[in-house]
Amino acid sequence: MKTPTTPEAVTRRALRAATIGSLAAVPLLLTAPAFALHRDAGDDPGPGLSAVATILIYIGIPLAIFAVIALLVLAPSIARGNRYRPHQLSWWAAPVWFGGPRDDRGESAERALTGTSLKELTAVATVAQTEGGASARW
Amino acid sequence: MPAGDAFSARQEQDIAKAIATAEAQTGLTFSVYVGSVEGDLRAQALRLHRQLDGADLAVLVVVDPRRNQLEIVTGAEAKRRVDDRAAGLAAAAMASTFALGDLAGGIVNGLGSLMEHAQKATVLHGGQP
Repeated sequence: MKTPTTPEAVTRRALRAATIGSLAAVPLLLTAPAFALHRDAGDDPGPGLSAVATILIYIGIPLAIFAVIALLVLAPSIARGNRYRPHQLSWWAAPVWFGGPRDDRGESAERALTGTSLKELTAVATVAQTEGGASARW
Repeated sequence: MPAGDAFSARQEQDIAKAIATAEAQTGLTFSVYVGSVEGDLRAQALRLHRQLDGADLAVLVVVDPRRNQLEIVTGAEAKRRVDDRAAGLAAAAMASTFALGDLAGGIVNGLGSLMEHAQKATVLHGGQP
């Protein structure tokens, strides 16, 4: 940025700086009485806070509030446990087969997918024409 | 490494109810397998389908959440009611819901879609000469 050099421009800049500076100064001047060390009759400041008490009050309490809020936010998902997220390409749960073979309950699903021999797979591929269906990915 | 269940009790109820409704409406049997499958998904799905009682009338949906893949297998008789086009529609409906992260909802939707297509079209004026 090029600094203007004409006298008018310099004056304008000076005025602008003075305005902004005075606007910032007004609140500071208004709060000046707060800095006055002035005792009224009957006031009792008491002993100052110790370092430990200061840290507890001004750091410990806000941290505790943060922790409580974070816990409130996270608690539902912690209680619900793992959930499916697409595109993370992992799956944590044991297989479930709704409406599977009736004879043995639950166990059949897992057994079904272990120990597939290559012969069985090729046999399936050759006889596969009677079944229909479709597939999709996401 | 299994850790935790795929569905909450509520979701399992919803899926079981969708299966029961579809079976009552169509007379076909429906079953849903959710789990990660090793090897070729189609071949494994056919293998699972063979194990079902009355496989000819059975419609099997295999969902592999790890590979983001699903497969619908219709038995020889069920294929006449749910043709491959209808199965494709149901598969696409499921996949789009799964892509949003809703496994149970996608399964229920897909079963509904399969059920609708499997219902016999009513024969109008069938009794008239």
